[in-house]
Amino acid sequence: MTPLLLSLLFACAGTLLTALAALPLAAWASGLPAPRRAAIESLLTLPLVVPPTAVGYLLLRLLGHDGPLGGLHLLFTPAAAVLAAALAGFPLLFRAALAAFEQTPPLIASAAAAAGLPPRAVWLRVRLPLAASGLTAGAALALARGIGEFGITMMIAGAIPGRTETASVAIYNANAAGRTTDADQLVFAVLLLSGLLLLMLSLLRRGR
Amino acid sequence: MLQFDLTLKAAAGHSALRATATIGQGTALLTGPSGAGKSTLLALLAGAITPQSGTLRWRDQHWSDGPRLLVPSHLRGLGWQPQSASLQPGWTARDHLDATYRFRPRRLDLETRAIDRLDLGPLMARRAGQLSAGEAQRVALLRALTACQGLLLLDEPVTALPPELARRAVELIASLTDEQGWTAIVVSHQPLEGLLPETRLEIADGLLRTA
Repeated sequence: MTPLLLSLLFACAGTLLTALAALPLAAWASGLPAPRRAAIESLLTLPLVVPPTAVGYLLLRLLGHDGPLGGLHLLFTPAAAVLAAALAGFPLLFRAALAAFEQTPPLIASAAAAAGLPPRAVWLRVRLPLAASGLTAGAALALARGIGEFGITMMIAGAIPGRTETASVAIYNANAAGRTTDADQLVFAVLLLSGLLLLMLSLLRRGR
Repeated sequence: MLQFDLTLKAAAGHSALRATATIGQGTALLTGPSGAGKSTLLALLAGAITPQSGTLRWRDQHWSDGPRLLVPSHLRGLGWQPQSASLQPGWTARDHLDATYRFRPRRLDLETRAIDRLDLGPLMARRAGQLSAGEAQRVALLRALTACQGLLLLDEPVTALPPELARRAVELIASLTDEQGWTAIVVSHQPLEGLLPETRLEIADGLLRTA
């Protein structure tokens, strides 16, 4: 598969994976008292601030042969690239979801509960729809971050052409090998794709 | 019979409150200056806010004991109309009722009568986000009435309504409360025309008194 297609695939799968973790965690954190919520938010934002190579290195230790999760044999597989995209996008989606849940007028949810809706129904039918625009924005950012992922991917997924070599990695390799035309084409395609994503995002925001 | 002795410390969004009362069947009018804690008391009874200490009993159930909620809000069979916007903007009035009917029995006669008296027939299919303040207030009241299984909590239920509609709404509240054997606590700044409360409660400086 072409690097650009792989980038898209890994970013989409990574965003889905990260949503599965980020949404329930943000829902849980939004109900915590302020000091604990701030601590959780800081901790879960770390992958945004720590250099991607450092995150990748930690994962390498974790998933390596001697690591505690070495038995999963994830290193240098497409799954590792998905994991890299998921981890890179996680803080963005988590923070957007937390902010969206916090901004929900509490009275709308508690009035729905008093009218008979159990907590699950209040979340699924009231709080999630109210947070939808914030969640969409967060997911789009996570997706964009996943497409641009480089550091973590390099460390744990490598650059196996057609298998784990994403666009950002392929640009680096093409440039390093002096294949300027290849690099030009990839950069142009990535620019186009990212521009389209951002446009979609702002259209979504304006639509609300 | 509703019995409570609740203490709430001041926090973001509400002031401190100490409330002790026993309220029987029928309507109770709750008055007091702005910011005295009227809405906070209703939110406490609704289970939307957790008290620090004290007990709350409804009929033969213990609803809360100290900070522990023994019966969560959705199982209290409440009809609660909060004072400010409490409707899901994307839902129609119909959606609000249907959401409740998935968990509570539908009383078609009561519903039809309430829709008629509150003049909501033409508004049932409109999204809550598109309603005026007075319309939203009527929909919130309708939801409270159709959801209620015993304890009705109404927070300034008719302030945004024109006098004639307000009078009809109060009449509806009073007659349903009477017929269904509900206990209704109605918050209001002034006495409501057509409502002869069995109990009068007053909150001042965070303390509830039976007037």
